[in-house]
Amino acid sequence: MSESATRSPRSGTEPPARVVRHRGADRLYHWCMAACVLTLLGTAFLPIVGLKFAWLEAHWISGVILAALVMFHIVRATIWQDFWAMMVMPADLRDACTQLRHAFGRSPAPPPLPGKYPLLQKLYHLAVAVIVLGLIVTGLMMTVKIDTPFWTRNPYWLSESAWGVIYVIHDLAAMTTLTLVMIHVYFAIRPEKLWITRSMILGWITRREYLDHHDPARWTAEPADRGAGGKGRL
Amino acid sequence: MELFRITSNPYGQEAIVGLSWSLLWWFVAAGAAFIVVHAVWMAVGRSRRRATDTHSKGGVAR
Repeated sequence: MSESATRSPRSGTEPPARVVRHRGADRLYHWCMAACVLTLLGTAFLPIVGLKFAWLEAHWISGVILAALVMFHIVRATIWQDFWAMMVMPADLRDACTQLRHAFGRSPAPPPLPGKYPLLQKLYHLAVAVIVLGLIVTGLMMTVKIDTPFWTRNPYWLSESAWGVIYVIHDLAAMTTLTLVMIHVYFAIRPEKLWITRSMILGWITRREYLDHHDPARWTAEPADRGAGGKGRL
Repeated sequence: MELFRITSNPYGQEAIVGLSWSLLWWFVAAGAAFIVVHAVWMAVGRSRRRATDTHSKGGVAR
């Protein structure tokens, strides 16, 4: 790679050796969410496939924790993070068209590099956001039908047919989550994606990974020793 | 294949109580199918690139 290609176009300086990709708070959120989702999937589906146990309490408590985590993430992403970095923008669709033309030999120009998140990652996040929000809303509604330390059950809050719709949405979203988790874990352990997985554990990517996979003009590098790593701030 | 779980209430009316559990395996199969197709696609692409690289290197050597 040429000397000019290793320099950030905005600052004219070389990107840091380690670039922050996920801060401590975001990594903690990701792994707590993963623990909640796996607990929810296990307590939902293991009894169905034959492993019988008292699943309900662990299920609703994990669901309430997941709802709180997602609220935290929404507030953090909206106020403290670059909210639009994860949104699908017109430029992403233009780049996808270029990529398709290049893949089918219609265009010699290589597809431009993305900013922090490529289109497929944004689409996956969008799918997870819609599905998990659907699960949380319907799941929280279903807690009205169980006794908790905070309230006594009220099975007559909605009509029987309305509860049927709630259950169908919840079940459909839960089964879709299972498919999405399988695909997510598959990509996380693919050899060429391990640098992304490492960044979700340690917080940083190398300068080489930053320059090979991202456009510095669309995502400004921040040194990892200031914002991530063992002594980094949340 | 049934799409919904249906129960009868005390008045004998049928009511939907959720999606059929047999659909669970379709969602598992969809995830597994995606993984297999993608893995094969990537492996074929990698072997094609390797063959192209070997061919072009051979051309340079001659």
